[in-house]
Amino acid sequence: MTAGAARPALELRGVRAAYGSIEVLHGVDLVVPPASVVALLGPNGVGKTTTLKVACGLVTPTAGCVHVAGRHVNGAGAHRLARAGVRTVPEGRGVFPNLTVAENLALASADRRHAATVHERAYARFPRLGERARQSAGSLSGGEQQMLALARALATDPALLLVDELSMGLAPLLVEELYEQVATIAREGVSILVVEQFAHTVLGVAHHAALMMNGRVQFSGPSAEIAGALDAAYLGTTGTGARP
Amino acid sequence: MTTFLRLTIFGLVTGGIYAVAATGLVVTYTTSGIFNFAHGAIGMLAAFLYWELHVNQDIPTLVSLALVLLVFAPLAGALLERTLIRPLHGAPFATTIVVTVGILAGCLGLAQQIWKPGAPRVVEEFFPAEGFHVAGVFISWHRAITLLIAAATVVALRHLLHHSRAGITMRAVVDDRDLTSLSGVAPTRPSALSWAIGSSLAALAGILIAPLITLDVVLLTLLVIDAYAAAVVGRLRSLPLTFLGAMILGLAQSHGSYWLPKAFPGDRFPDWLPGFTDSLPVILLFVALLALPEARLRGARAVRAVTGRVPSVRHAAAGALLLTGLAWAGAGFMTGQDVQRVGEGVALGLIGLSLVPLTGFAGQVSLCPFAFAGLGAVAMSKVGGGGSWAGLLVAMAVPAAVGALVALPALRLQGLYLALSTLAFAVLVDYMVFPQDSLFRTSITLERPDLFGLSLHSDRAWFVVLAAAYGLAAVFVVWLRRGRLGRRLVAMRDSPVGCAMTGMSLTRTKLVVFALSAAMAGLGGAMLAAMKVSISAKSFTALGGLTVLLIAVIGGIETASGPLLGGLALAGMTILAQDAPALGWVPAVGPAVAAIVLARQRDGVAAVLGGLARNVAGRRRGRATTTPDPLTALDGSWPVGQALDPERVRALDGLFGIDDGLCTAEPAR
Amino acid sequence: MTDPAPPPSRTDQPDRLARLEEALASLPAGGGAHGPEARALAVGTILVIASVVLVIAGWYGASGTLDVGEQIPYLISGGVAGLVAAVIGSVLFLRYSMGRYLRYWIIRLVHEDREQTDRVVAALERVEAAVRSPRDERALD
Repeated sequence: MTAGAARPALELRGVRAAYGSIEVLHGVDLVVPPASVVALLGPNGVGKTTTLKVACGLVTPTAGCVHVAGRHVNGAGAHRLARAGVRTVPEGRGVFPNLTVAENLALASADRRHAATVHERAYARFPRLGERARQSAGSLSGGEQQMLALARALATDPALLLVDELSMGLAPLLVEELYEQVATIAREGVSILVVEQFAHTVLGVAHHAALMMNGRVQFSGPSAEIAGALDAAYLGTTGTGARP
Repeated sequence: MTTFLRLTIFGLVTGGIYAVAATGLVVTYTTSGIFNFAHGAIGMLAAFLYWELHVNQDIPTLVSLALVLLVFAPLAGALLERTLIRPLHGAPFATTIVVTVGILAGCLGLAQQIWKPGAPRVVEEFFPAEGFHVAGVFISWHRAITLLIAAATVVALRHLLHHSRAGITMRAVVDDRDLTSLSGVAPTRPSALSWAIGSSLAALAGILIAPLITLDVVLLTLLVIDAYAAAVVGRLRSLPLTFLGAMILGLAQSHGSYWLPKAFPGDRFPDWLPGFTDSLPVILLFVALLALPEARLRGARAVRAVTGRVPSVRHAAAGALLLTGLAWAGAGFMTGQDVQRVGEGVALGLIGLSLVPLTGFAGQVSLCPFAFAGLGAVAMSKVGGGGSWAGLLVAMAVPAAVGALVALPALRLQGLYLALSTLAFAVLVDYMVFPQDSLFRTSITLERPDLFGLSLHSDRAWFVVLAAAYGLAAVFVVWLRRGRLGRRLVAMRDSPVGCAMTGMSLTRTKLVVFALSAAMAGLGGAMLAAMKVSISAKSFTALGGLTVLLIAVIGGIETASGPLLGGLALAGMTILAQDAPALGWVPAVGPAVAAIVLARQRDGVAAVLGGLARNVAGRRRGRATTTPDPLTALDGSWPVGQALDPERVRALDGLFGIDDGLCTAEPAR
Repeated sequence: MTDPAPPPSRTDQPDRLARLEEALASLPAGGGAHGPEARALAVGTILVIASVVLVIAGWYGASGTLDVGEQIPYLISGGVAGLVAAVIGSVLFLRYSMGRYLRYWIIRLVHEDREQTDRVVAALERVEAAVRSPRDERALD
């Protein structure tokens, strides 16, 4: 095993995080192995988005370690992590609504020379964006905005991709299309952490899954094994599957 | 015909200068979301600095220009952004307005201390007296250059904002700061750049105006403030519209000041005419503000959970009695001059108290307290020979009526635009209303009325009356706060959306609180005038009124005693400066600095002192903070038995410059 | 719903991760002093800078006159005040920056000590187990 394969792309150990004096994460342990897709599941409000924010550097944990590619990165600013190769598709359409599609993509590129390749690649992956290059991003449909957000995140060929609620507010067909893209990206070797409320949309694509409840990860393992735990967590059923 | 052409060209030149200033303002606003009230002050400081370098120190023109425009102005802008503006990210409107107004007042005070008024200072035009003729009109090179620079500036900025990477980043930061971080760009860099550009533009405008007028601190600042009208016409967003607004402004001023007097037969024009042409920009500002589309009610802003402890009316009454007693005792100890100064401080505090229900409770920033105070003083002087209790009542009623009238059109404005409209009103009153012969003329004299036969003629007696009046007003304010109106005011500040949804009439509440505030300011103004006996319009200037806002914030703008503390602090600073002239800068700059520091505190100085006391006593509430110290995180998360995390240790070692490689060795097998 | 993609070949992932690790190697671990410590450090720095300004101002003022009597106020308010400010500022800064450094060292040493003890205890247990078991086996014979 090479050293690169041994280290997980992302590791959270005993992470606690708070907004002001309200603690939201009570000790989260999460591992994203290299070049795999990990789904972070759980109902609304358990702290999934906060976990993602800790991973991308927007929120500094009050306790615990965040390791990216084996390196301790607590407190490193979000923009530094982003520039190093950790890209995020945040919740609620990660686009700048008052900039055009082309400007959005230009901003995601490292510099001017790189911008041309970025545009090429993005329009190749998502042709619909190419048709609307000069349109303001705020006027795009939800699915197109999500495509733009994904294209922006992939612009600099990241090693670690963090995605928050890709499916929110989108039609199921579109969601499937987007997750196909995610699978393709994973095959190219990018490590991906997907936060998702609707497990069925992402479990087909994910290698591993982790279930969060009340600010902690209650279960984590291969995605095939998680179905039973999900019922119990979401619906409060017992292990035998009896419905209340 | 030549006259028309000449006026048009001059108007375009003035418009060009306004365009430069307004563009800088719009750039900083669109990239930071904060309206820089101190924009005019930066322009003024740049002009004075240029005079200092070029005329006083004989540094060549180009070098002076480069130093001011390329070194001083951008540095000042970036420094401002870094130290004062960045912490304002996410703060409520009132706080951002107080801080930028504080910067404005501080710069004014600073400039007046460094370059003391009195000595005439003149800046020459570029290429003086040389020019060319167009259709029979002589255009000096200076004016031609000005016009060219203005056009070039707008074009260059539009290109910057829409076609360059830096400009796109600046617009992105305003859209979504977090997302900008996630895209790999530190959101602080575009902000610093945009403020540097904005300041440079303000400086450029200041330098371009300077040769056309005499170099006066207030005048220059107000001229750049006139550019706000152009910015508002552009909706604080669109550069081409801003340019258009600036041109309209320049043309209106140029043509208006020539043709309007011609409308009056002979040479007798009314009192208010010179003031009218001077205040055309603020009139345009007012009109532009009223013509703005109705702003959407903001509901998503996070609301502070903490509201201050409000004292009971009984406590307030006891405080008022104590205050009066202290004033009586203190008056015996102080010298006559000190009684005057402290009395003025208390009167200013009373005017500041008028801002407490308006700005403190209801969150509506008003920048025109002196306008109402001056009106109150004048009203009192007209009734009963200038010294009667009825006069005091009139001094409250007249400003209240005026306040209600002024508030009517401005009621639907919110936050920033309301503050701008009050500033416009203050400047308007300053230019047009006060200089009139029937009002202030040069100065008015007031007498102190008798109380039940007791003569209050002496300074000391009136001082005690002032203190008692403040006490009464404070009790009223506390009573107001505890009542239904007080709750409505706080609700209006915390969530206008919530108010609208529960059916509370925002306009009626605003009208009432405006009128109340104006009445209190009028009372304060009348009592101040009586304290000084003889008072002129210079005591009630628009820019001077900003100090009232500042002293109210220092003491705590949500407390009834806050403005008094601020007023006494100002009085103290003035007394200090009297005894030691070298400390003249303290009362000039002190309130501004203090207000900036205390802008975020609800309780003013008391809050800061309380916080310090808590820190010293070592009591820290709540173990979780959003930016934890890595060392404390280290303490808490390594319980006995948990293995050392070599990666974390390595990172912290790096922080402390430790290079011994301990903890990273694998355990020996 | 397709099956999850098989884990990709090992040839390309070390490349990406190695690139990431390299980029992260130059990042600061984040976080200097916070709270009261940071404030004290800031106050100390400002005092030291202010002291330099005061001294320069005092020098400038004193250089304006030849009369020693007039120079003395500048000496006092510029020179002496500057000196005092420098001393207080330096002390504050030094105390809090050294305090931080030493605090880190002590914590680290304590934890290393605990770790060491854990290892020793584990080793002793292994020894004990190794010593006990042959005797038990012999007893069974």
